[in-house]
Amino acid sequence: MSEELHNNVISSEFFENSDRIERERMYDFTVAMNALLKALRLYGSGNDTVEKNTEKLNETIKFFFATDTFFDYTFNGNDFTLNDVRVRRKKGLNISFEELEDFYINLQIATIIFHKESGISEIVEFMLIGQEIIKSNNKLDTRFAQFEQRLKNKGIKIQITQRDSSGGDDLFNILNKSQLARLTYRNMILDHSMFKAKITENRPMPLKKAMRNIQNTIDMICDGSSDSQESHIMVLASINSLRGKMIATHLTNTAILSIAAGVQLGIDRSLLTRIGTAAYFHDIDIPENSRGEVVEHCQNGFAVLSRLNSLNFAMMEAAITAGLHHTTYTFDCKPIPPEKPIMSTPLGELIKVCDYYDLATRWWPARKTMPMKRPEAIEQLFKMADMRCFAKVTVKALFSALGVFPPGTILRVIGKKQLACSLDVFRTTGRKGKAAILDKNLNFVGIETFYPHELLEIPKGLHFRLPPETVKAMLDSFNEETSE
Amino acid sequence: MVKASEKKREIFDFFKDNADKLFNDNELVKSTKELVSLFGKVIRGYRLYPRTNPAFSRFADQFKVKLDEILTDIPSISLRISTKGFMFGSHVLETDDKDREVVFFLYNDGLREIYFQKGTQKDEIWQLFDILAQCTLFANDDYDLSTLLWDHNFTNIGYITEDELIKQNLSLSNDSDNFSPFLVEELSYGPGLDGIGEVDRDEGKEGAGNSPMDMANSPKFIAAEFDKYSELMLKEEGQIDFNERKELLNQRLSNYIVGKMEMFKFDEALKRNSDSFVVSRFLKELSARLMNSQGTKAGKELLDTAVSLWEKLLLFGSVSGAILFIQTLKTIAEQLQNTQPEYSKKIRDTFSDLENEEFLNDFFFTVEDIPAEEIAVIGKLFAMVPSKKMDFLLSKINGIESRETRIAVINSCAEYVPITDDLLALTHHSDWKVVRNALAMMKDKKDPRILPAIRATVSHPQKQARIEALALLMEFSVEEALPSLERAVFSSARDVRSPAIQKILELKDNTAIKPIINRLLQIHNLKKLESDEIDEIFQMIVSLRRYDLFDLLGQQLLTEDPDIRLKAIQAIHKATTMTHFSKFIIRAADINSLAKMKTDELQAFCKLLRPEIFDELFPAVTNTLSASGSLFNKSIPTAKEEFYKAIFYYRNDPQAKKFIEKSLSSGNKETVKIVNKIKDKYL
Repeated sequence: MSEELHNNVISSEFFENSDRIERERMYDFTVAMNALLKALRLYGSGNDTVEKNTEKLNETIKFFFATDTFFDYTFNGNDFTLNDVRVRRKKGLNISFEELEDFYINLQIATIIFHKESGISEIVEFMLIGQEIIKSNNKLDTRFAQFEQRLKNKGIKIQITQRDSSGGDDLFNILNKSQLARLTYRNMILDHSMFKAKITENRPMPLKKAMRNIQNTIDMICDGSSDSQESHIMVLASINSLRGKMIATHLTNTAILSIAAGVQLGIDRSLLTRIGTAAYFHDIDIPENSRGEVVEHCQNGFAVLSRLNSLNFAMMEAAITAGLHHTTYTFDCKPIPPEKPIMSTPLGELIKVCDYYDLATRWWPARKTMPMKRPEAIEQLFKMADMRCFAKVTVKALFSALGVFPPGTILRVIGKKQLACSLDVFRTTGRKGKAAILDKNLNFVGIETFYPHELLEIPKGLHFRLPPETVKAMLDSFNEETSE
Repeated sequence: MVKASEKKREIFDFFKDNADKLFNDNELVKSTKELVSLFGKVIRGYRLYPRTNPAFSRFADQFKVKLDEILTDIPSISLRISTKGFMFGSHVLETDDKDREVVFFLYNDGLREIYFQKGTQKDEIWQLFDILAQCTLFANDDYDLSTLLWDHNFTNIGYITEDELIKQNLSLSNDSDNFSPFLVEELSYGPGLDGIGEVDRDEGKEGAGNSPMDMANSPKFIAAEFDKYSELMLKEEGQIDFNERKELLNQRLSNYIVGKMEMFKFDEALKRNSDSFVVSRFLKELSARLMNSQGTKAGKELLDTAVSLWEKLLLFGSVSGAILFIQTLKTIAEQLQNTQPEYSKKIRDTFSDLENEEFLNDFFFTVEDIPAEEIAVIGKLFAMVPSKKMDFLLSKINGIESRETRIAVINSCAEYVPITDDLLALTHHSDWKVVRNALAMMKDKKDPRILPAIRATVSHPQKQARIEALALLMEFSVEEALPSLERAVFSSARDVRSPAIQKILELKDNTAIKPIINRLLQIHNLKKLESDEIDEIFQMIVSLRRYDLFDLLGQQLLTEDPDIRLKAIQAIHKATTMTHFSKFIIRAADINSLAKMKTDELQAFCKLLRPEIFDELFPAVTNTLSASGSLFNKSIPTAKEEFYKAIFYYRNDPQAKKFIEKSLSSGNKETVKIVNKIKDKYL
């Protein structure tokens, strides 16, 4: 057995870091913190009970310094979290952490950062100072600053962060829909690195954060109102990539396309959240610095996604999709026709189609072929559906979501010698849709509306990648429209 | 109906613009404070009491009343959530200190404003409370208040999250028309303007745009070339007919757009592949990959997952999933037993939680929420728990409140948990419920060790344990059960002996039964029983038609104890015929015996004198005709009178008629007088 293999197999890291042990220790630590605070408040220092509790805390805190030199300990108003992992209260036991909760609340603390070199006596001193400030009955607003100053003066290394107080003033405006659309899209892309970090650190993924973005996207695509952001969000989903965020953009686009296709199939809201979340994570294992997908990501992707915080169906769908989405096509978008139809899950099949579409139309740095033009990619999907690579209904769903000229498609205006870029979903020939007029250098000229039959695809063999300035101008046009 | 979420901006702006005015309405502010404090009560309450506590329903009622009160004058009420507390517009609502924690909880979950519209239903409030409970009790990384509120899509309750807000000064300083989170630099993906191709011609030629170098490093073309390419694009071949083109597009759209039937079919597919399908598909995939990826990075990752997954699965109610994983891990451990013994042992060690009482405790907290199909296999899981923990498991099973669930768990255990010495030993456990469960788990198994254990339990110091053992014993063969049953029949506890007696009386065609009943009906044994219990036994003999035991019952007519005699009379009276008891009735009908009976007994006994025994009776009671009472002892005439009354009842019976006539001609004045008196009365 090779050394590497041996290391992989023999390593007992996962046994030591198992959730359960960690959960136990975190709970014990919280109990010990609470008990020591209470003892200090009741008896002051130098009492037997205090000594006993100090010793107990000293014992429990060691565990967390075994691998790290510091850790964060936060109270979020409901739970304590240690390095972002929730300390679970034990069912059936009525142990209250009230003393500790009050300590956080009364001093306006959000997080306490404990350092390995601090030592137990410093923790006791930290607590005593905090309690002294609480007792002094100062205004709540001033306590944190006072506490921080006292810690600094005493040279105590334990750090504290204050609760966010920015919500206190009336300084907020509600975003309009188009602003929210872009902010959501951007958040989805930028959050990706945070999710990747959680995976690397073997920490739970804050799925709720992804879900909020997905839910916002669903609202924007299918709220049915006159200022629906469907076209806007579909144009966003045609963005090739934010700088250095190739994979994150791909995931975000696939998520949006999956939701849009799901809407066309009449899938209900809860399943739209599931499909969006699953699509958003399906390629999570591909490194961001990757110059293109590699097939191996399926195995590893399944592995990391199957960790599951809880038994979340979206994550299971994501894991299944991650594991199986390349069974019928390669990264180069070549079909691998199966002998008989293979189905992961119905939602997984829908994600596959959207993944293929974004994959095929994307300018991947490492790919050796030209990307397909958007209508061409749709054609190809239908062909591959005939080869049983995809379920035909899912391809139709994507087509229905994108229309005859999917948003982001470069077109020419018939009879006008003018280039345009589709900014709408052309689902019917009876309604005009929006398109950005481009000059010969693909610079943004303005917005016009056209019937679909007034537009024509660019000749076969030619393909454009839009300049960033043009993309920005096109996106900003949605904001102007809302403002008007 | 317009959903609350769609009215967001309108409500947000209304409260922003009218906050000062509204804040001057003291009544409104007071009611709003009360509403806010109910929020606090509910959230704190969920930490202390179960969700089923009736207090929460009361809170919901109070909340609704308060809300209706507030919404009489304004169409909606909006509460801002800030770290300073609940706010009404820009004014902080001074509430209880305890509520600060609650506000922070809401704030931390990304909620910045929550509002209620006129028409908010109690059901909506109740669902909102349910969401609060879920986040308070089971908060995790998968959901928060905002995501759950979105899921519920309330008609009258809306909210604004942190994601939807932008700092006012930011939006003012930048012209809001130009608000864009994107910078051009961010949308750029490399130097230069790359990516024009001419794929069909000059394939592979440098600068054509389809070589890897072009795609990766940006092609070396210049603006002039760009013009050339875009000219190419715009070059139209011939005149294009709009109608033809429209026709073509229409055809394309009608061919490819999803139709109603396809939507229906997809919906059907989703229904067929429900949540449980997703779980099982996921678990199968994980299991298969786990087995096939040993030694790889992904394999280690999967193992890491699987090791903790079985616990997660259990705590989330997927018993079968957990079993699948434990079994998969065990298989891997076995496969590596020889090549990697240390590693194999470590995998096995991860099952140690199966004997961790705290973990099992946690699991039992969730048992009542587990679906029936998962409960049905719970025994498979418990079979994996070391047998030394069986007493703990059985005690926990007792703790399950729902009887149905408890029985389902025991039935599953009975199916899957093997009999071990530890389990057998539990038949001596001091808690009878543990004994009961242990017995229930063993009863259907064909194991020679079970019967001795049950027999021994019949002597358990706790009565209830004895009863349980007995009940079980009865399910075994008579031969197996009889010795214990006999012991139970003579038990000092009625709870034990009653079912034992009943069971024994139900055992027909068994010669071993009669000696037991005979012993039981001995006067000294009967006297140990409770009065109504004797009735029960006698009546059971009659109602179960135990003809073979009728003689033992008839014998009681001759006993010296008047109480027992009366009970026997009453029981025999219910028999369909007296034929089986004739021998004993006739003996008891002797005038001297009758004379000893008290009136009620005498009257009851005489009812046993029925035509079917007259044949034997009359020849045997001839002394009745001649017997006479003394001057001071009226017992014989009284007995005689009751006797004749009974016979006279059947006066149309030829035997009876003959006997009456014989009596009238007996020459005994007393007899003649009594018969005539009765005759006069009835004829």
